[in-house]
Amino acid sequence: MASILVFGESDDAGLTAPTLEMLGAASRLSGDLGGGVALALIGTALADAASAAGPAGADTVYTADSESFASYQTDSYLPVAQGIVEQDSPSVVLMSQSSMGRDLAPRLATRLGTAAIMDSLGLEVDGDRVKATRSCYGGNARQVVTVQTDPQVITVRPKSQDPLEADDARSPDVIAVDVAEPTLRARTTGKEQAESEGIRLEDAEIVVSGGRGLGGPEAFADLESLAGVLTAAVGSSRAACDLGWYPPSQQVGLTGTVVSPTLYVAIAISGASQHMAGCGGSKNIVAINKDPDAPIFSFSRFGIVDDYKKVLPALEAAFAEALD
Amino acid sequence: MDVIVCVKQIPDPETPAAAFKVDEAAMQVLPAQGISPVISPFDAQAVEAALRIKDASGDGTVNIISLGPDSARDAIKHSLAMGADEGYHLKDDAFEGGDAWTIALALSKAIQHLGVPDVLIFGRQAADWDQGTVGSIVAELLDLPSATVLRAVELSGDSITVSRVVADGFENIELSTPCVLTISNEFGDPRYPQLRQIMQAARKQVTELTAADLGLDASEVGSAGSRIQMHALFQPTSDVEVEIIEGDSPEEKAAGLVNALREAKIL
Amino acid sequence: MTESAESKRKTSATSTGKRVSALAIPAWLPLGGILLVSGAETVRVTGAHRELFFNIDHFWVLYMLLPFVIGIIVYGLVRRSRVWRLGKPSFNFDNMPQRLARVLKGGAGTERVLSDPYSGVMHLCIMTSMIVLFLVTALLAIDDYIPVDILVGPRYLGYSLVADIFGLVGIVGVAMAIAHRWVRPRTAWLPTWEDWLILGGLGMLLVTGFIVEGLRIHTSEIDVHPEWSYWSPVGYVVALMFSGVRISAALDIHTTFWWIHMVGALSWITLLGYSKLNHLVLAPANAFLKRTSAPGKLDMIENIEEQEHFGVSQLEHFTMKQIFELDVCVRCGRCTDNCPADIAGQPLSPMHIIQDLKSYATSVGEQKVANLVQGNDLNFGLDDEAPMVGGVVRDESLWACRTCGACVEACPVFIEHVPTIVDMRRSLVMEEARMPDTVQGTLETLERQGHPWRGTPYTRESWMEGFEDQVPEWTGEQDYLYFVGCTGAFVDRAQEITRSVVSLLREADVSFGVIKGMESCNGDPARRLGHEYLYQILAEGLIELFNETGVNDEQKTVITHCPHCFNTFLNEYPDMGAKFQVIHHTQLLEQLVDEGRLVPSADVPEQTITYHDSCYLGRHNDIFEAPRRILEQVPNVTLIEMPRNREQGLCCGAGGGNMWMEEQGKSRVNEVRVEEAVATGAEAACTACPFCIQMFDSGIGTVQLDVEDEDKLKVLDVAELLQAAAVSERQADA
Ligand SMILES: Cc1cc2nc3c(=O)[nH]c(=O)nc-3n(C[C@H](O)[C@H](O)[C@H](O)COP(=O)(O)OP(=O)(O)OC[C@H]3O[C@@H](n4cnc5c(N)ncnc54)[C@H](O)[C@@H]3O)c2cc1C
Ligand code: SF4
Ligand code: SF4
Ligand code: SF4
Repeated sequence: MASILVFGESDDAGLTAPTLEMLGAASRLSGDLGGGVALALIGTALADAASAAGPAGADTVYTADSESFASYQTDSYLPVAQGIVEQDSPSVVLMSQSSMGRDLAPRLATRLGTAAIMDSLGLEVDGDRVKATRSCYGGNARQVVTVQTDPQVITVRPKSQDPLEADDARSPDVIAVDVAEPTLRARTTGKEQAESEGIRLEDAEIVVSGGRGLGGPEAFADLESLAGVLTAAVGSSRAACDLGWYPPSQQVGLTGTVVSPTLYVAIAISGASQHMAGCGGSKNIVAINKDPDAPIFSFSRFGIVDDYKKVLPALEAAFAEALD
Repeated sequence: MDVIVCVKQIPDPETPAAAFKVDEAAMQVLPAQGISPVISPFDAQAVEAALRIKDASGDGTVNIISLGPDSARDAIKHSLAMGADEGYHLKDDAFEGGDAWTIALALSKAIQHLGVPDVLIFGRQAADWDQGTVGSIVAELLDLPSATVLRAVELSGDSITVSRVVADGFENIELSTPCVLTISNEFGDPRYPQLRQIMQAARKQVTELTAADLGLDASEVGSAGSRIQMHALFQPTSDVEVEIIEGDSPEEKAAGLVNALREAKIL
Repeated sequence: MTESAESKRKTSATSTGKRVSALAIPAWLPLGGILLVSGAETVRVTGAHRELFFNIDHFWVLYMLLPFVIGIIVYGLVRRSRVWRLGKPSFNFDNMPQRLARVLKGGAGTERVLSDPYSGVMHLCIMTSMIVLFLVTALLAIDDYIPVDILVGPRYLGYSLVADIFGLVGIVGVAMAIAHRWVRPRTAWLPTWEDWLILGGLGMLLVTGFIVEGLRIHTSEIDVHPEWSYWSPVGYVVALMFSGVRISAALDIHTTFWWIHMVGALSWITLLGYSKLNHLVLAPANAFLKRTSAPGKLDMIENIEEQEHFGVSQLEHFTMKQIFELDVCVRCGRCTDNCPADIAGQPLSPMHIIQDLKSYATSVGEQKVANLVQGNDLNFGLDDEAPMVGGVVRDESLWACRTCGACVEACPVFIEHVPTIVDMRRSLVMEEARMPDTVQGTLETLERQGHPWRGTPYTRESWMEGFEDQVPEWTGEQDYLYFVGCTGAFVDRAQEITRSVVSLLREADVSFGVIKGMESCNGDPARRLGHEYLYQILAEGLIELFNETGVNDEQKTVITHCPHCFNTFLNEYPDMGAKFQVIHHTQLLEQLVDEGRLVPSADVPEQTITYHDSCYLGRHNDIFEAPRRILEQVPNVTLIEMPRNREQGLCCGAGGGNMWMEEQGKSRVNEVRVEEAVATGAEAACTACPFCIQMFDSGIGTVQLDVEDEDKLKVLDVAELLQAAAVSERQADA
């Protein structure tokens, strides 16, 4: 019996980063909770991913390998997931707050007669419970919660946990699970790739915005390239739109779009109140401005005082490296 | 096509951070001075989606259910003003202090009580607790297919085609009815109610239902029936002062910024 | 009509001349001189006279035609009045002295027409010519029917001269009008058939009149009494031109032209019932009907919950007066010439709104009347018509309006565009819920948060952070409540103004207080944006707060530093049950400086200053001088006016809810205005409105893009400047 069962995900490159992070978290928690760490993988061609699970921290790996799992579908994944949990009977089930996790976790929890905590930022053992800290009220507040029923299902925000140092010496037991053909009431009929330009400003998690201080329309190409690295949307101040440097549809502010991304990068924007009306709700603002007294800094969490022309190439390189 | 939308009244998510206050001891968000609660924005979009389904199918009804204290009526009224037909308010002291599970349980009973419609729609999450589980729990309790976090919903014959927002794009999914859908912000703006409809909605009767009406015992709902327990509620201490990243070269500053963002778990 | 131009003797028909404005008087000085000299001359000539209906048979036909002509005119107006009567009865006869004075000064006296030099002179020429010639004709007729001959001898000659001069004046006026349309046609008001018919007709009448006169002189006077004919100088010149024509032929030509002239005159006058010539009658009527309330006031929708429609989406939703005044418009284009939106190249021309509605009233309105007459449904057969709101008048035009009232101020015939525009906005917002996203966001923020500043990071109390204890809490005991308002609380730049006002009030020891944190929007933005219902809810809420806190009392005065709040409290809140007094901070500060309670003694950094008139303070509420007088009291300050100032001031662009909308069109209104301010060369622009301040700040960034920061135009509220000059160091530090 394992104490913690992680539902992992894999892609062509093997286990995804959030999976590795969850395995890291699970190992740390299992130290306090007792018991081992198991990884469940549902998908196709899982062999490589399964073999990487040991070094990443799993003691046991369940694989449900079938063509019908090529893409996530509630109806097909749910019974398999339920089977694995029943087989493993963990006290904690972890999933990533991914497209799969946010859909599967609550349904699975309900089916198991328990409940799910979504999108946790921090995990900590308290007796036999795992206390999860999560963000609520649009980031204005944090709450600490536990699931009182078993198993405790928790989804984990990507990047909130650290993976373990890979230890190649560890090799887990791999258990292939029987897969029954589920009856599908919903089926995937197609997929569309989202392009960075395609992200609506108001939906983007990260927004990179430029203002009049950019000095010309060319600089927006550099902003777009930075946005590409960050999968961000590109916004603009009204002054820059007025000058014809960027389409008015991308204007952020009182009379433009109101955005509240996790990260708002304001480049060469002074921070006029009408602009802040459109981005003041951002969780974090980072400003790059050559004027140390620019009002934007009083709304920012981090700032760089310098000519954007010098900072931007270095920044793009640093982000590219960090996100790789 | 008949649709039921479940909506929630919440503190205005556009409350400026400066006006947002938490009573840590009571683990409650204090109502901000002068700022009224609103229907959760995703729920308003869910109502919009329902109204469009009704329009596209040419007939049917859009009914609204909300569980909550007196203020929940306003979310129902808002939905009625947008064009929904009937409103049901699940109101009982016993519901107080509940979690997603107990709320979903009561909602699913109410839906059964009213008759399971062709489509059930929820917002992707209530913009107060940001959990995003009620729709899925109801789907599970009623054993219905579901698709969550949708940016588009279309009627194709008897089935529903939706576009789901996933990490790297969108997935098109076809569901048989009855089914459960949750709507994401990518769906687009909900309509602004016309004054005439606001006034009609104000006069419309909202049916109130208690736990007993739904065949629920007080021990099953509210804090008594909850499966999730809250231990603390607080405001993250954010540095009011901006941290200026110093460095001798632009490269150093850039690297410093990226590090700082990582340490702050923003990246 | 120019029959009279060739008539006898003398009249003092310059009565209109007495009423002309200062501008017109110099124009008439030469004429006065001529009359004086010629008056002396006439003493020498006796027995001069002329035969009425000289060389004309069957002239009684004219008298037969007259009732027809009158009938046709009356028929035209009465018929048209059926369209007016589609509207809701709304005639209000309060304040008669003001209304009558307006009819005299503005209607008959054409006070406003004269404000534009070229068209003022043009109109004065045509108008006085027509009045004089009419009186001349009437006098002739009277003379004919009374037993005593008054028009003989010198009197006749003077009369002839006056008639001739005014005939000529008329021709000059018509020529100016034609030239105006030829040389200076703005696409905004390209002339139509109406213009040509009226002007061409009038010109034709004046010319044929002189021809008839010339022929009469040629055939009967020049040879017998040449000294008489000098008194008809134009006729005399015409007579000379005909001098080669045989008398018998000339007599035939005379008869022909006489009839052309007379029948032409009678036909032309019927245009009174069918064209914009009707302004002769309708303009004075509209001067009477114009509201007597402050121009910035919008009328309340009473019992809004019971209305069948909200605002105006159909012709019949307008009031009778609103439909009536469409017909008064003479297409002069002045409203559009003064409209900030049009000046900035945005999709709004108030003249076109009025004119498009007028055509609509003609086509659709007449059809509705026919439907009523035939007992059909009002809208029978009108399904395919473009909708009035959204079709005839486009949404973007309605949204571009700043409600600044420049059009109303400029309109020579007293049309009130603003209520008409806002009424249609009301239907867009309340009836159809169709509005720009930004407007929706603003209204939602008003509904939910009680202020229009969506996205603000501040609370109502942020502005007093760090000096709460220096801001006295309103207790109900003080004389003044300082109403900070939403802008003063939620916009950082305006918070500075709020702090300045508080510090000045403290410096002057004014007994005042602030309702901390509990204020809510008075509803002005909702009202200007067309959401009357939301306005009423917000206003009721605030009045209730004022009742509870003892503000709503005749003895209490509310200070506002926002002209929009000021206008709403002063002019609109009485409808909601407000009893308190209202004062704008510039009025109070002026008083305090006068009383010596504030002493502006220190030098201020910017000393050449241009003052920008806020529309809601100035044009709408007539407060032009108080802020200027404050500025003048500050040591070493020089005021430089922008060309458009006071009543003619150009809106900064924020009015009518445009503070929260994105402009469409060629340029931004605030940039146009900032350019005007920069052009004065002043170091700072002062204003007394927190919206104007933001518009200026934003415009300067663009207009003075390449100017070093320290050389840019500074923008200050009057209170801020006064604070710098009058608040002692001790308090400024605190
Ligand atoms: C009614 C109204 C509505 C408005 N609505 C909006 C709105 O919706 N959105 C909006 O954005 N604005 C809006 N504005 C305009 C707003 O007031 C400001 O004018 C505008 O936001 C300024 O844009 P900016 O910061 O790009 O330009 P600026 O204020 O000119 O700032 C440029 C900044 O760039 C910096 N800079 C210059 N060169 C460099 C360099 N090489 N490297 C780094 N930094 C540099 C400068 O130090 C400066 O801080 C509105 C204004 C009004 C009046
Ligand atoms: S009120 Fe001002 S903006 Fe509106 S039409 Fe008249 S002049 Fe133009
Ligand atoms: S509305 Fe008045 S100002 Fe405008 S064109 Fe007509 S008459 Fe002239
Ligand atoms: S903001 Fe200023 S200029 Fe503009 S409408 Fe108001 S008062 Fe007029």
